[in-house]
Amino acid sequence: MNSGYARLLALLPVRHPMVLVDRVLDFDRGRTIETAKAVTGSEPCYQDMAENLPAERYAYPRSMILESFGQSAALLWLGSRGPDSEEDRLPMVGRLRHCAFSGSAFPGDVIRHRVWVERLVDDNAFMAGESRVGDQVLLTVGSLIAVARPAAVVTGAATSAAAPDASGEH
Amino acid sequence: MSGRRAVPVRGRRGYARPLEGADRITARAEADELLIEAAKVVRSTDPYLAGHFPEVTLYPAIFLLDGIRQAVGAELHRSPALAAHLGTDSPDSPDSTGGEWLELGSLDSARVLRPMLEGDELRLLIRVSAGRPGALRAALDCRRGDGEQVARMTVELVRGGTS
Repeated sequence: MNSGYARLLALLPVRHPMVLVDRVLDFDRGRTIETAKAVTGSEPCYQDMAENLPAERYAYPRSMILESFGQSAALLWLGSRGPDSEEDRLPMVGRLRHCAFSGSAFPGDVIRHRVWVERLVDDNAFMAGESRVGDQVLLTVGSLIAVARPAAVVTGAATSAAAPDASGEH
Repeated sequence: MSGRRAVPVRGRRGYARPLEGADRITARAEADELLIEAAKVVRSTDPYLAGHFPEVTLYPAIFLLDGIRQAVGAELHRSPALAAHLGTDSPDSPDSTGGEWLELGSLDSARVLRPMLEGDELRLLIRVSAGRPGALRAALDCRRGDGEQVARMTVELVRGGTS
């Protein structure tokens, strides 16, 4: 996969400031991906912070680390799809299990996500992985089940078709 | 529920968060549990939501995780037993909500059932109980204003700065 930011935007349906992956470092089609997310103090999550807080209070929200991991998983799946894939289908996280946080990231850190495919079944992808800063593991993801859903269902344009497992999450 | 608390949209935050995960919170302690109901209206003007997505606003389900930790942190004082189970609070915890800084320790499971669109009022029904030593278990049942369940998840919360 071309690791450039433009290619990344071409694959991900989200836009600034919700794009939480900055670069694809390694890509093995249908198998694994490694991405980088640079944490910066200019992100909206740091607005309105009180003065004179201890350094640990600037821990990057762990929900955002998980979102960044999920976007990396989406890049792995989307980058692995063939040219005949249905363009109007969006990748969504339908289910997450057994995720554990063991550390924090701070402004200036670069989070590296590694995601691997455990199996692909029809419109579902079963993935797992971990996120690190340097040698420190921040997050392990035991199971992420991504589903492909028609865009109209996801955006509510066809709510009658919103079957269980349709997701508004990335 | 008793103890209604209005969460300020802006303020001097004591820890980083993507957005205010609740507009209103009510809570009560009951037996060994803390029962919380938080309300959140999905707005395209909230931080980050302009990019999720550009043409139609969908609330990222991941943000529900932040709603859980914020709501539990804001209401933990109602259950001294659960606060004690979590361990000693740090003295330097200024926050506009007057709450405590909690972090996600683990996410046991999360399932997203329906999209959450702009204008939807989300009701976060959170049941908090003691987990392993130093951790709380919070189970979320998230419903839209019409009662439709949109997500459910179970997480473990720990004090911020402990891992």
